Amino acid sequence: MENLRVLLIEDDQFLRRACEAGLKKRGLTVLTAVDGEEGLRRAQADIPDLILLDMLMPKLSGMQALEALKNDERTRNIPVVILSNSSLDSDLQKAKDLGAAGYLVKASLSLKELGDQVMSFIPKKDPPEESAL
Amino acid sequence: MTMPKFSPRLRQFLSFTSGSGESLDAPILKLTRIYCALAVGAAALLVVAFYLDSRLWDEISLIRKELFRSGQSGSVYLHQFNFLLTWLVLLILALAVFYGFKIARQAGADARKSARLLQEAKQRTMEIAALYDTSQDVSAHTDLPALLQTIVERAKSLLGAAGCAIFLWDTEREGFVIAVESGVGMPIGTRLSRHEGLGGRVADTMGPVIVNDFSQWPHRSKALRQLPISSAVCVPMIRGGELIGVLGVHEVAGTERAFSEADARLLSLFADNAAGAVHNARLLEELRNSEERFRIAAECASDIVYDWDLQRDHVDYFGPVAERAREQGTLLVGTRQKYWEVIHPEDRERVRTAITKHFETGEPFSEEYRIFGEKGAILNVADRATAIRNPQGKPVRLIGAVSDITVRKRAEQMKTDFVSFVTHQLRTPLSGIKWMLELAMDGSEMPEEVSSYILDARSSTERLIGLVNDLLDVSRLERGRLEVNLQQVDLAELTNSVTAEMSSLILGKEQKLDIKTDRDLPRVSADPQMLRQVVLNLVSNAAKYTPQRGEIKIRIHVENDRLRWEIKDTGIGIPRRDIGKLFEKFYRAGNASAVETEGTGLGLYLVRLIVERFGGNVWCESEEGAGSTFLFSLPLAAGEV
Repeated sequence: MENLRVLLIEDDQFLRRACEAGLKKRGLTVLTAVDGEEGLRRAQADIPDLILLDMLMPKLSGMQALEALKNDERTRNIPVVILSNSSLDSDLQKAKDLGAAGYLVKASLSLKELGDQVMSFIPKKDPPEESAL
Repeated sequence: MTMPKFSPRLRQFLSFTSGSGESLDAPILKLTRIYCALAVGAAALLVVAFYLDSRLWDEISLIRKELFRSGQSGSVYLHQFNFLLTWLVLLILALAVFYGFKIARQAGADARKSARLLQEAKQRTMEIAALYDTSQDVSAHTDLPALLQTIVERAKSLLGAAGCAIFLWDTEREGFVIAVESGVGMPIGTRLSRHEGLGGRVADTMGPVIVNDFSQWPHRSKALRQLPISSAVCVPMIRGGELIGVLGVHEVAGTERAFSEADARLLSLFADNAAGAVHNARLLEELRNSEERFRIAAECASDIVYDWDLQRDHVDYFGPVAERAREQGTLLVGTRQKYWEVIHPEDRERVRTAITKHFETGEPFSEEYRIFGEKGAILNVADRATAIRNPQGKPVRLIGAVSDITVRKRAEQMKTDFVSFVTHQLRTPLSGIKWMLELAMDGSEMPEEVSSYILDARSSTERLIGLVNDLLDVSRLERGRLEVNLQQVDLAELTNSVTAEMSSLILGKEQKLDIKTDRDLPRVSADPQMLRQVVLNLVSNAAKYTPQRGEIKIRIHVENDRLRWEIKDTGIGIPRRDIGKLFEKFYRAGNASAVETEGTGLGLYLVRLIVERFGGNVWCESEEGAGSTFLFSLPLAAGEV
C-alpha cells in the first residue's frame, strides 16, 4: 500500500501526540503542524492525502485556514476533515459551507474510531486501469 | 255784500235740524245741495218739502239763475265765486290740517322710534365692544382667574347690575364652587351642591333662569341667603355639551329691577366666552402636564425618543441622550431616508418589513438591529415604536424609542462564546486523557492491576466527557439556543435503535426487554437527535437502576390524540418524597447513589427540557422497592391521525 500521508494541524501537544501515535498504528504517515499558518505552509509544500484540521487555534483560526486551503489551487482538492471539540451546529454548517469533507468531535471518539473515520475519508488511490472512461 | 235772499223757508231749511229737533236730512247733505246749486249758477234756491204723516215724502228744488234785478248781477257771480272759493279753500285747509296732523303724528312716532333705535344701537355697540374685548382677552391671556374676573366686571357693568359672579362646576366633587365675583361680596371658594340654589336650577335646565323676587325665592342656597340680593339672572356656561359652570348677575335690595329675556340672552353671550376661557385654560393645563410627564419620562429613559413625521419625512429627537448627542455634535439624522443608510444592510429588509407590517396590521413594532455608530462602529439597538394615525386610519407619525443594547448583546454573545469556549477547553484535555489511556492500553503487556486502573481511568474520563456534553446541551436548551432540526420521527424505530445500542448493557445484566408498539404508529414532529437523547436517558436509567434479571417493558401507543411512550422497570423505585423533584436540575433521588454513582442529576432534567420543547409532558410513577414507570407524551405531527 502506498504510504498515505495525513497532515494533522492541532495546537494541543497532548492531542497531537496521541493522534499521531494512533494514526501511525494504522500505517499512515503523519505530518504535523502546530498552528494554521504552519499548517498552510506544509500543505502547500507537501500536498498530503488528507488534512485533519483543529478549529480553535491561535494565529490563523481553523475556519480561516480552511478557507485558505480551499482558495489555493494546490491544496484545493485535498479533503479536509475538521477535528473539533465544538459541537455547535453553526460551526458544523459553516465548515460544510467552506468545503470541509467531514466534521469530527474529538471527545466523542476513541482513537480507533478516529482512525476508522480517517480511513473512510481518504480518497482511494485507484489503480490506473480502473480509472478508465 | 249780503247773501242772496232766501226764502224764510230756505233759511229754516238751513237750520232745520236745530229748529224742530228732527233731523230729516243730514246737514252735510244740505250743504252739498246748496253748494251744487251754487255751482250751477243758482242765484236762488227754493226747496219745497212734502210731508206725509210728519215724514218727509219728497222734495222739489227750484233753482233760479237770476236774481231780481237790483243792480247786483255782477257781484252775484263774484259771490258765487267767493262762495265756491271759500268752500274750496276751506276744504283744502281741512285736508291740509288733517294730513298735517297725520304727518306730524307720524313724524313724532318716527322720531321716537329713531331715538329708540339709536339708543338700542348704542347699547348693542357697547355690548359687542365688551364681548369683543372679552373674546380677545380669552384668546390672548391664559391667567384664568384674572380672565374670569374681567368677564364678571364687564358683564356687571354692561347689564348695569349691582353684582356678578361665576360658579365653576367641579366634576370630581359633583358640585359648584364660587370662583370669582364682583359686587356684593360673595364668599369665594364656597362650595355648593349640585342642586343648590340658582346654580342648581340652571344645571337642571341647562338654560337661563331668572328669579326676580330672589329674597322670597325658597330655593336660595344657604351661602347666599344672607346677601341682600333682590333679583338675579343666571345662565349656564356650556362647552362641548358639558356644563362648565354658571354665570349670574343680580341686583341688591333697594333696586327694583326685573331681569328680562334680553338680559339673559346677553348674559349667555358672556357665558359662552367665559366657558371658552375656562376650557382653554384647562386644555393648556393638561398640555403642560403631559409635556411635563413626557419630559420626565424622556429624562428617565436612557433611550433616544424619536418622532418621525411621515408626511414631511422629518425626524425629531428627544431625551437627555439626544441632548448629549447634539452637544457632542454627533449626527442625528434628520430624515428617515438617511436613517435607513445608518442601519446595517443585512438588517434593513427585516426592519422595513416590520414597520410596514405595523402600519398595515397594527402589530406592535419591536425590532433589534444593528446600526453604524461613530467611526463605523457597529451598535446593537432595540427599537420600539407606535404609529399615530389620522381619522381615516392612515399612519401620519411614528413615535418610538431606540435603546443601545450593544452591551447586553455583547454579554449574551460572551455567554454563548463562554459556554462554547469552556466546553471546548474542558473537552480538549479530556480527549487527551482518553486517547492517552487508549494508547496505554494498547501498549505493551502490563500487569492485570495496571490495566484495570487504566480501564477505571477511562470510565471516569467518559463520565466526565458525558457531563460536559450534558452541561452544554442543558445550557443551550435553557437559553433556547439549541438549533432544532424538526423532522417527522417514528418513535418505534428510534426506540429500537436505542435499545440496540444499549443491548450490551441490558444483556450483560441479563435483563428482559419487551417492546410493544401500536401498529401504524403515527409520527411526531421533533428533532430526532434530541428525542434520541430522551429515549437513551430513559432506557439507560431503567437498565442502570434495575438489578440483574429485572424486567424492562416499553410501550408506545396513542392516547387522547397524543403519542405516549412508557418504560416500566422492576428496579429500586423512587421514594415518594423525591418523585416531584425528579426532573429538576442536578436532582438525584436519595437512593440513587447506592446503585449508580456516576449520575449527574442532569439526565432527567434534559429529558424534561427536550420533551417540553416539543410540546409534550413527562412524568413518573413509582413505588420504592418495586419499580418505576417513566412516561412522556408528545403531540402528533400535523396530518397524522
